[in-house]
Parts: sequence; C-alpha cells; structure tokens
Amino acid sequence: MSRDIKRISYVHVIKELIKTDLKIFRKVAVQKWIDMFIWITTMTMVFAYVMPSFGLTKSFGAFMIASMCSTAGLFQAFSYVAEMVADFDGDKIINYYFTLPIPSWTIFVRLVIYYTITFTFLGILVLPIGKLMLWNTLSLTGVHYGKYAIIVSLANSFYAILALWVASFVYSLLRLDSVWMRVIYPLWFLGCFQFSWQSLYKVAPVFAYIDLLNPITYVSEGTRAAVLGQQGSLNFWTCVAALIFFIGLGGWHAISRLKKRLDFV
Amino acid sequence: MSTKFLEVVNVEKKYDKKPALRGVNLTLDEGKIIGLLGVNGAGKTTLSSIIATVRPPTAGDVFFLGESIYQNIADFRQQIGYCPQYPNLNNELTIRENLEAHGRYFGLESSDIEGRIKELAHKFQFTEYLEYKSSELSGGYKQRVSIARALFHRPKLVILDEPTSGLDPHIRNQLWDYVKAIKADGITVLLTTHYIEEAEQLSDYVCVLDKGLVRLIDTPANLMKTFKKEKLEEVFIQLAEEQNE
Repeated sequence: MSRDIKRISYVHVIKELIKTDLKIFRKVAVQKWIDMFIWITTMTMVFAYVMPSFGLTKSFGAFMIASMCSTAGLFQAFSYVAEMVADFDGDKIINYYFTLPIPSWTIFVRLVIYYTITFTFLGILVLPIGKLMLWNTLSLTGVHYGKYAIIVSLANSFYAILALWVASFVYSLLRLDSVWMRVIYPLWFLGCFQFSWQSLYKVAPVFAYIDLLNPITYVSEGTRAAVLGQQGSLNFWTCVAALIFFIGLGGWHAISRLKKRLDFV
Repeated sequence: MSTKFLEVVNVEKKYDKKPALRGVNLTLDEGKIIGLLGVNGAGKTTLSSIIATVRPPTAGDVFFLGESIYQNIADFRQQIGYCPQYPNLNNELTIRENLEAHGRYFGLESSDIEGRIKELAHKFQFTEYLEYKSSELSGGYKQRVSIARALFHRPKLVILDEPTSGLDPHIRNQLWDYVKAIKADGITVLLTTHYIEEAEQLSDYVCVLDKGLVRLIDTPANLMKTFKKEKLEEVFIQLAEEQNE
C-alpha cells in the first residue's frame, strides 16, 4: 500500500499522545493536589483524632492512611468518566484520535497509561501527609516500598480500566450521578476500605466470601499488607494476582463495549 | 494495468439494522477532487467517515493503491487527512499546540513542525490566532484550523466532510480557494457537500449519493450535457424529482 512513507512506530505515537495529555494535566495538577490534601487531612483528622473518642483504637488512623494510599485514583476516575462521556456526547475529539497512525484500540491503552500516571501522582501525597499528621502511630520504616509500588501501580491501572468500563455504558451526562451511587460508592465502601476482610469474615462470613468478587477488596487489603505488614490482611500476592485478573478481564470487556458504543475500526 | 488510487467496493453500512449505505462502489483518481453530493441522510458523512477509517463498514472493502486499507490501517492513516463536519480540536490547547501535537503524532521533526505551522497559518490566514484556544475562535476559523491540521502531515488524500456547512458566504468562498490550492499541490480531495454550487466549482468529478447508493458519477460538464441543463443544480433537481416519482 505504502508509497514512499516512513512508518511511525505505535510506541512513538502513544508516547506523544501521553505527553500531550500530561501537558494538559499539568495545568490542573496543583488544584488536584489541593483537593487531595483536603481529603487526606479531613479523613485523617476524623479517623485518627475524633473517632477514637467513640471507642476506635488509636491505630485506626494508620489503618486509614494505608487504605487511602491507593484510593486517591478512584475519585479522579470519576472525573475522567465525566470527561469521556462529555466527549462521546459532544465534541467527539475521540474521532480525531481514530485517524492517527495507530490501531484504534491502542487509543484506550494510552488512556489507561495516562490515567494510571495521574492517579499515582495524586496518591503520592498520602503517606507524607499521613506521617506528618500521625507521627508516632505511623511508621514509614515498616513500609515495604517494593510491594507498595507494585500494589499502587496495579490499583491505579485497575481504576483506569474501571473508568473506561463505566464510560462504555453511561450514555448521557445526566446519568453520571448514578455511576457514583450505583457503582463506585458501593465498590469503595464495601471494598474493605474502612475495615479488614478478616474482621468482615468474623462478622459475616458469607458476605466476606461474596466481597472477594469486589476488586477494591484486593486493592485495600494489598495496600495495607504493603504499608502496615502482612499480618491481618489477605495475602499480598493473592491480591496482586486477583488485581491482574480484574485488569485483564475489565480491560478486554471495556474495550469490547467501547468498540460497540463508538463503532470504531 | 495501473493501480487505482482509492477504490470503494460494495461498501454497506447499517446502524442498528437501518441501512445507511447499500453497496457503494466508487473510484478516486489521484490528484483530482471528487465531490460527494446528496441530500441530508444520503450517506455522505457515513461514506467519508468509512474512508477516513473512523467507522468500519458493515460489508465491503476499501482499497488504497491496490491493498485493503484494513490490512495495515496505521499505514493508510499516515497517508490521509480528515477534516470532520464539526471541528474537533482540543479545547484545552492553543491552536499552535494543537498543530504541534498533530505534527509529533505523525513523526514530523521539530523544525518541520515549526515551518508547517508558519506556512499553513499564513495560507489559511490564522497566524494572529495561533496562541488562542480553539474555544475562543469562531466557527469559520475553527474550520480553517481543522483543514490545516488535516493537511499538516502532507497526506496524499484529504477528506473534507462538509467543510463549509453553516459558514457565511464570504468565508465559504475563501475556503473554496483553499480547496483549490490543496488540489494545486497535487493532493487528492474527497469533498462532501450538500451545496451544489460548491461541488460544481470545485469538483473534477461529482458523485451523487441517494439513499445509500451511488446514483451517478461524472464530471459536472458531462452531467449538464447529459441532462441538457445549464447548471448542476438543475441536474440535481431533476434527479430529485425523478426519485420522488
């Protein structure tokens, strides 16, 4: 087919797309960090200093900080869903990307990489702020940083896939609130964010087994295993394996649904 | 036998079982402008978006230089430029940034990108708006930038989907000059329009689409001669009346 063309590598195009995305993100990065700062300090104040007066253990602050490390991306995922749905419904900039010299599905691979980078950027604040607020009750020397990097990367990749998946079936901005109430909020709140899976098992074993179908359970448990140590959490490597499974399955399903919705080649 | 530049073969498209194209066959000659003409809903945008690889056909194939475009879609995309009916520039970026990014996606060198921005901004008369965001521009200027972006990486085929739709007459005339300049550079143009005058002024060949089928293809002069009319518009009206009978 080609007549004197110098082929461009897909990696080059995707890298350039992500560079452009990050250039745009830089314009709002400080604002996003301020949002995160407010969220982290508010949560830590309530759970580390107020709730213990109602009988919670003092170590609950550290427990919550560990949970928050990989939850930051979930909130940003919601705003990315809104951006995608607005574009699919409105300007359709996505159609421009379908004319670039790469296979169409790789546009979504680029989105997953970009989203993962921004989620990770937002989550970076949690541990330092947590340490400043809790000081003696949170030990940063006990954090397994290798495992922490693995679980945070996987958690954020999962949220990126979740954003694509949700965007694939929300057909109008008017239905966006339902996404929060019906999908993200239950997943997050039932996903062992404020309690451990073992404590849930003691109270309601059947429900605890059902909760193993919730990917955020593995995010919360795996992150706490990396930050606070393995004791009291689901096995770290089980969490890693489960998240890889959910990323693979979710990614395949999200792109299939988006292909149907956007009718791309 | 010479290889055809672009060939659309038996292309069908259905949206939820509703046919938009019903077996379209069409050939584009290199260096020519072909005008796709038809009433609203005739299938013009669907056909141009299939050739631009934004949408897949339900059946049929499109060949570029003798090879199916779906065999290596990235290679084909490298050689085409697409300007959609509604400009889809990135509103968060300035016009300069939009064009720079486009150049990088297509592997252009930095010095070349800078040169192309200057050249195209001058040609399409938006130099003074380079630092504006696209959301700050009028429809006419957005459309000019959109055409410039489609041409930026020096494609061999440019697909312009109703580029003058909804624009003031004087801006439309300017855009016609730009399209003529594109042809003068040896680029093949597929021009979708529902302005008959536009098709008559610009096209080497006119293809009339009707209810998802190619009704006829010929030069504007031959069509007027065949139908014994002085204007292409009269030909089009006669065709429409025949269709209604």
